Amino acid sequence: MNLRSAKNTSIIDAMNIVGRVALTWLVLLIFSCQPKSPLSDVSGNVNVLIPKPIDGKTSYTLEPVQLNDIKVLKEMRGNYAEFFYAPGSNEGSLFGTAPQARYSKSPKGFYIPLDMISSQMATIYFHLQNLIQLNESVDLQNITRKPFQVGLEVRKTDREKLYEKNNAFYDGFSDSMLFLPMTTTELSLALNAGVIAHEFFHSIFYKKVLGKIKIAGKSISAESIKTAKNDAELFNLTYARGLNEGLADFWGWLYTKDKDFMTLSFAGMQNSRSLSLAEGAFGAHQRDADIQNKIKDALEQLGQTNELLLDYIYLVGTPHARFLRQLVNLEPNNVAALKTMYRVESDEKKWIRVVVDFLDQLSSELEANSTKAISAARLFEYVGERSLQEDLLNLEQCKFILNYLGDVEKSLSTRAISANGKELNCEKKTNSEAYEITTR
Amino acid sequence: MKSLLVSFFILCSLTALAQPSPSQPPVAAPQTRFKTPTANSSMTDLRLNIFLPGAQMRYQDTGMQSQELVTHYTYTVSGQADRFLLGFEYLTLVENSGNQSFEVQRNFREMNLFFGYAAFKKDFMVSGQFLLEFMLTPQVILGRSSNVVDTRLLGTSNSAKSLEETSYGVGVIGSARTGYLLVETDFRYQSSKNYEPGSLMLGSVRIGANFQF
Repeated sequence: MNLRSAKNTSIIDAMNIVGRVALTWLVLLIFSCQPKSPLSDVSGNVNVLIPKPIDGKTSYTLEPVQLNDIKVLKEMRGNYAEFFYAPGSNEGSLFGTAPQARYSKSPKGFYIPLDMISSQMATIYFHLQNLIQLNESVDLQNITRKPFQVGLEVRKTDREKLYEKNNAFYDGFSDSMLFLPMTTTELSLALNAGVIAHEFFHSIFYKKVLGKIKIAGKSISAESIKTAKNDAELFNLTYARGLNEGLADFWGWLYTKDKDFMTLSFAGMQNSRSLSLAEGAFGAHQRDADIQNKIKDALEQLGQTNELLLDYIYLVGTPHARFLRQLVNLEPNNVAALKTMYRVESDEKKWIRVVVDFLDQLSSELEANSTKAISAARLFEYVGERSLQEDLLNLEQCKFILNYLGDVEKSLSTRAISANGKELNCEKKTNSEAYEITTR
Repeated sequence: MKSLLVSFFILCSLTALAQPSPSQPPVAAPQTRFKTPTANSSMTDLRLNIFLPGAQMRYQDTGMQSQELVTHYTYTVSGQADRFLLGFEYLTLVENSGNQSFEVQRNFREMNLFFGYAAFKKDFMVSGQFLLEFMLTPQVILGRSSNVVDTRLLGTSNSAKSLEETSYGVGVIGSARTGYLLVETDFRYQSSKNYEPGSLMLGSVRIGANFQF
């Protein structure tokens, strides 16, 4: 009996020692480990559930999409985008902390965002990935920042003090896309695919035009009106800014195939920013005289308002977006492509190249003639000039462009008379099905 | 498998630690009007503990890009056999973010079993009549957790359920018991793939009743 009791005691003592040592090691092990997110180790190609536009409609649905080349899912950092939360900015970059995404893995293998910020990060990453790939496919990789820097919940910027919330913009100074806090009930700008494409285009315009002609730091404000050397510079500034907005809207449409993508986030822009174009409105755009008069008004009201031209640039720009959209719609082989978002087909790429080449042309002309106002119809003229050099237009497109270059004769829709009395004609090219615009 | 091994490891350790030292003389139980078995008693002290719905505070990531103490609602019940404790808790958290056009509602759910052994126990007599019992119970926790995310996008709803992930951890429960009244404080270090960060500290205070059989 005593022997058995002694044996039990020694077993208990041994268990005591082993147990204490084991527990000490375990506690040390647990507390020496830094709490780590389960997402920190997730990398590569990752599927995430995001709000995605429904083809050609002003509506969205939730769908898993593949995000490529993710390095750290917790920060949604990868080859295509890098995020900053309420960041500061330096020349050429943002600085600050990365927002922390929260996702849960579904049984089907995709990740489900657990909050708004995480949804925004995945959505922006996906669209930037597509837009950067689109840039690469049209030889714009040299001016594409990769990964693109994105600031979320940006509180305040020194350069754009007019906006403190409910807006998004591309900042040329830091070469980044910035999203301000959204306080409205409408779709967040950071979830709006068209808005992301719109802002992405601004980076192209900045690098092709604004950054080159050294008016990048100027906005359409009282200060820039004061510092403008002459009326021509102010005219060119207004036109270039307007064009920037208009072409950015075209990019937004090209990417989403939704002519009203802006209204999901700004319901009040239903009419002013919609890219619908009725036949009766063919040719409608702000002429040289319109822009000059607006500048005159702005100069007279200087000191009372500095937003006059800021709002006006959209009136200058939107007709350009409608013009380009109509040209793409008139592509005969493009019907199927128009219904498919994110995939930009060859006919559409043709028009992307036209726009990009026009930006180079515009930049050269603005740089060469800082004292001469450019024509408010310069883009339309450029398309006409280009039709002489390559097979660009079909008959319908050619007739459509004439509306922007002069007064189209009602009896003969292939002929127009320009403001300086020249005769413009749509003529079929020899040995080709394409048409060109000739001037006599 | 890793979590099971860890749990087994901890259980072995706790059981070993809980063994009374051979040199320690058995403590005579004070006389009370409640059934209070002693170490020498052959009768097993069986109890059922039922707690009021309570709050558990977890220091974790939030949808506002911060780490804060987040309140989870808990429903807990446990049973005791002498110094052994086996309990079950159900825990929920609802988080909302977004606006009217895009709203994300995260519904976090977790079910845990916790197993402990009262390694430290001290009894006091209050006014010579009521017995106040204090216990420190190291515990191991094993459970399952998941997220159900309901998203409203431009008026259309969508629900997505995450994988169920194992949760596991270690902790200690401090209990004070007198009569039917039972108050417990629970501190843990717990891990799961459904947590952000993956391992977190949590604590709770719960009030309940214990029924002796």
